[in-house]
Amino acid sequence: MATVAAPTMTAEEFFDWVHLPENAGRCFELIDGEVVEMPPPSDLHGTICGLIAHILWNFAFDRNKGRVTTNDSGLVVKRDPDTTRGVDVMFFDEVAVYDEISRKYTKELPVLAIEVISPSDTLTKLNKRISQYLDHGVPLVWVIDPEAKSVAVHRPTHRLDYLNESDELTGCDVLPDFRCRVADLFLLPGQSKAKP
Amino acid sequence: MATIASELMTAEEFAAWADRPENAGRHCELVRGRIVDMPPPQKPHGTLCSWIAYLLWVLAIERGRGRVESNDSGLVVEEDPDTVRGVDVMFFDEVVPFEEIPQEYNREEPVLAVEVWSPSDRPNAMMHRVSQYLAKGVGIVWTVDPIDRTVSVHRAGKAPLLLAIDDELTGFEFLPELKIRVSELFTLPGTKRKATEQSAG
Repeated sequence: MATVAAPTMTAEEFFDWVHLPENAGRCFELIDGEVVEMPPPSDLHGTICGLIAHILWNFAFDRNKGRVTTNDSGLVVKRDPDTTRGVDVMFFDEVAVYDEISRKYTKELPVLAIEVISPSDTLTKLNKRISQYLDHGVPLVWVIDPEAKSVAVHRPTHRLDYLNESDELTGCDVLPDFRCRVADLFLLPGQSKAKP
Repeated sequence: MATIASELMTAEEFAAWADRPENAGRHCELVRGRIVDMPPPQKPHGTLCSWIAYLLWVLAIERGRGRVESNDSGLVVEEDPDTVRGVDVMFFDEVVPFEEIPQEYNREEPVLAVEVWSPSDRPNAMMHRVSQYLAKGVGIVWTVDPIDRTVSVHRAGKAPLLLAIDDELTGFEFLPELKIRVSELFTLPGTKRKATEQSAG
């Protein structure tokens, strides 16, 4: 990730800057007021993000409540200097009206933020992200490793939990109705379901 | 990391297996009853581990209490099936004569466990270790990133803290005397420290 030369920005200035025609198709985040370019995610990364979004949308439709974002939708996790993170997948526990969804960065707090590990992620980069989500008030953070097929579950006041393919992934006390097998996160159409 | 044996082993069987002559010099762990080969550590890894062990020994000497283990000493973190992790550095808050140091793997938890991250480690594999140490009852777990020069501090029931080079590592309620600047971990003898750190030390 290279830092793009630009003066310190607020989250609002960053939003306008990102949407300039010359920046179309590029991925950026704002870290402590500085613009940082992100590498485009891989085939596997995008597949897993989409699949998790599908599982969460199904969950939301089943309970008639909830909204899912993907594609590194912006979340302002810190102010002065501002930090706007592009989150892989977020779940908002609300009954949302389509026309009322923010046209800019969300002002809502997701109850679940999900990161899928990329080859460029270092321990520090990942831990910084997790800390920022938790400090911002996100009560549940899943970090998914598509190679090891594992999920690390981070919560602000609970012990870190690690799940592998044979374990069950739940929404803890944040989304108590949600449960699936970790293996389901990596199961594509046409492949047999994991054994119960 | 390749799994070597297929039948499940206990921590004791693993200890006997590891002591066989043909297994000398191998780096292995027992994860849920299965032996897993570990890649030999890279050079900065060993330097950092021994330096952190030294800094912790200094603390133990100053407070007249404490014992440091390094070199992937075994810690039994799960039972039935057993998991024995080789921990980079551990601090035990105890006064124990040399002769009474147990010959077998530790079943008592250290107050502090330190892991030094290598770029070849999957970040979630590190999280797996951290979760096992915390579940075992370890008070503080540091994961040290020698590339970005940070330390992530994990405690059970607390959000992780990411400390940068100018921040200070503390022992919280577990080791109140512990105060080490992150920069100290990456400043070897004879190399230059910042003035503020010299006066603080």
